[in-house]
Amino acid sequence: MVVFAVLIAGNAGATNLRGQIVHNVNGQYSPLSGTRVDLVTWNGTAWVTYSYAVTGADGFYYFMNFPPGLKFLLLVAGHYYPPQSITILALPANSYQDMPVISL
Amino acid sequence: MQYDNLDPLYKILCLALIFLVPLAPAWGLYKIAPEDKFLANGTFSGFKINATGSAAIYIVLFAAAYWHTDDILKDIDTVHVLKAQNGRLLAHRPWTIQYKLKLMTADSSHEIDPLEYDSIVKQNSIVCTPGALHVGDDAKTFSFYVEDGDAILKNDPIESQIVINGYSTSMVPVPRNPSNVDTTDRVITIKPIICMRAINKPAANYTKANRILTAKDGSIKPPPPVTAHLVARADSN
Repeated sequence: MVVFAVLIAGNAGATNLRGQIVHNVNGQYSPLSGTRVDLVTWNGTAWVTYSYAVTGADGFYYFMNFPPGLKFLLLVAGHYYPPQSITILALPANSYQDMPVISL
Repeated sequence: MQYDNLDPLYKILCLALIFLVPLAPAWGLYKIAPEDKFLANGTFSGFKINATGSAAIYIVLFAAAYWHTDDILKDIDTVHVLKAQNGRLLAHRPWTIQYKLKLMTADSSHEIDPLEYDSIVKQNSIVCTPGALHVGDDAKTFSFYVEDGDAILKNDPIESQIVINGYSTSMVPVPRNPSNVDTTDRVITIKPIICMRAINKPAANYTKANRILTAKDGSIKPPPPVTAHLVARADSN
C-alpha cells in the first residue's frame, strides 16, 4: 500500500513521527493495519488526545509536522506507551523521529 | 416591527408604479374596444363614480389596489429590513481557511496523476479539525471555517490537522499574519501549498529501537507527565 507523508514547504521546526504496530502470533510479528493510534499530551491537568492516526497495511502510522518540544504518549488499544512520556525532537526537514514498535 | 429610515422617494416611486401601471392595460383595452362596453358606477371613498370604457377599467383596478396600499408598503419595508439584516449577517459570517493539498510521487519529483485524487481524497476518509472540512470539486482544495477570523489576522495562530486513514496525520498550522486574505469573501488562503509525499518503501530506515514494547510495557492509566530519559532515536528517511 502506498503511504503518504506530509511536507510543508518552508515550515521549519515541524517534526515527523512514525512508528509501527504489530501483532504477535506464536512469536511471529505481523503488521497490524487499521489500528488507531492516539497521540496524547498533557494539558496541565490531564492527558488529552492531541491527534490520532490510523495504521496502514504495513502497520505504520505517521504524524507529520508536529511541533518540537511537545511531550506525548501513545494510546493504542487502551494502553499508554511508553512507560514515560516522550518529547518531540527538533529534527532536520524530511526526517523522522522513530517510535518503538508496539506489539499488541 | 421597527423600520429603518427608508428612502421616501423609493416608496413614492413604488406607489406611482402601482397606480400608473393599470393605465397601460386600460389604454390597450381602449384601443381594442373603444366602445363603451365597460361600465363602473357607484361610490368610492365618498366619491360618486360613473365611468365607462377604459376609464371604468382603470377605476376598478385603482380601487382594488387602493385598499391594499398599506399592505404593499409594509411588504416594501420588510424587504428593506431583510436586506439590511442579510447585509449584516454577511459582514459577520465565519471566515474560511483554505489550502491546497498536493500529493507527490515517491521520489517527490512531481505531482501524482490528477485522476488519482478522487480515489485517494475521499471525504469519508478524511478527518479535519477544527470544524467541518469541505473538499473542493478538484479534490485538492480544502476549506474549513472559523468563527473569529479576526483572531487570525491579529497573529493568533490556529492549528488544524488532517487525517487520512491508512496514511499520515498532518498538522496544518495557520501561519501568523497570513498574507493572502480576502476581506470581501472572508477567505484566508494558507500558503505555501501543502505537499504529501508517497513512500513506496515505507520506513526503509525505520529504527525499531532496542526492543519491542508489549502490553506489559503499556499501562491502562497514563503515567505522570515526567519527561522520559528514553527518547526515541531520530532517523532520516
